Amino acid sequence: MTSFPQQLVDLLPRLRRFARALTRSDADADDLAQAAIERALVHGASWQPGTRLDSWLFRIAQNLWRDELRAHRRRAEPLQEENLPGEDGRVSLPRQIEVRDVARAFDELPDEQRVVMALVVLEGMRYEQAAHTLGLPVGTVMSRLARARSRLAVVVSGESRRLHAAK
Amino acid sequence: MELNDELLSGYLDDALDADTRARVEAAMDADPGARLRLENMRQADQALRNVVPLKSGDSFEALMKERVAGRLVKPAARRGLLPWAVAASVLGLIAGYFLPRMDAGQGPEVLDRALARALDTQKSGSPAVDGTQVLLTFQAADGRHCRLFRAGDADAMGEGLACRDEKGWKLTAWDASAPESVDGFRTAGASALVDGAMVALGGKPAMSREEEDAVIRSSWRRH
Repeated sequence: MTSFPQQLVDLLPRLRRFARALTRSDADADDLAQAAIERALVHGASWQPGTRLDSWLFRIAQNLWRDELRAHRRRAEPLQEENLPGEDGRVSLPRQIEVRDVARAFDELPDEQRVVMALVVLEGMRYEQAAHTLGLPVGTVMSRLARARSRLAVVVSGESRRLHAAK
Repeated sequence: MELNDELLSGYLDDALDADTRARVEAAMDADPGARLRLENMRQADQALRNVVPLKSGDSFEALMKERVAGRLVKPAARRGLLPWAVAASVLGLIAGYFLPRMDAGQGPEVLDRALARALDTQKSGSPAVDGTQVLLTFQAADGRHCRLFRAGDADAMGEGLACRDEKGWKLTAWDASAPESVDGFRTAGASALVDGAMVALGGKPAMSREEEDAVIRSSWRRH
């Protein structure tokens, strides 16, 4: 059976991605991931085996980030526009434009919509699990996700029109 | 059937029951615009996965593995931001053990003597006294010192924000809804109402422990 610390390490890439969605900054995301791992190690006894460790760990990260924002009474820094790769890791011009626009739209989503989208779209959680992670009703998760997706879809739609017009 | 975004989103996630799913598909056959919206949502999802990729195999991961193996994780030190958050969260855990003091649904509209004394003297993060724990201190844009605090009991824990003028502490915001405690963790701050009030006050970030000590010693003299 995999040890608890090893399970945390195995979750690290996903934790960092979730933290990036929360913080909108790669550097803050790694700080947050590190703090969440530390807290998980200290309070590992409060995690109940048989329940999902990823939900528990993400909730820790979310709480830490909220505390962080409160302490500094600010919102996260604006989007980092550099280093946004395409699907194949390279950055072609149309892909760069689309990715940048989607990235900006994602970062401009209200926090509560962005975090739901991160859990469902990036982490592949079912609605029930995302709701449990965030302590929200399933209906709230569904409506926030729909609003977030709708906004991003508009960006993609506009980008598609521009690309077609350029052809 | 009206194809709203929630239905399309649920369809995309295969979260609809079979009957609803079939009705959505039938409705989309008659509504090419809805099908296009669905396709745009699908493309947006894919683009998002490219925007925020999984990262692994870098030096940060190697460092974390080493530290977790040795249980030697130290607070992030890059800008010294998160150690405060760790401390506050741990203290939030402690806050779950407060003794009863305040009626559910009723905030301290008039600050009683014990609460005012706590705001005057308590250091942020100290154990609760008489059901009150101060969480942080900052100076608002208008120069007043303000403190975020929690008060209540295990059944009804509220959060408040009080600011001090020449006459003493005044309640600026109060949210009587109890933060949830799930999986053994109590959120160290969950009130959007109080958060909004803090943002509206402007001013500086939360004080460091040293800054707070100094202002308590000076009996809240403004500087």
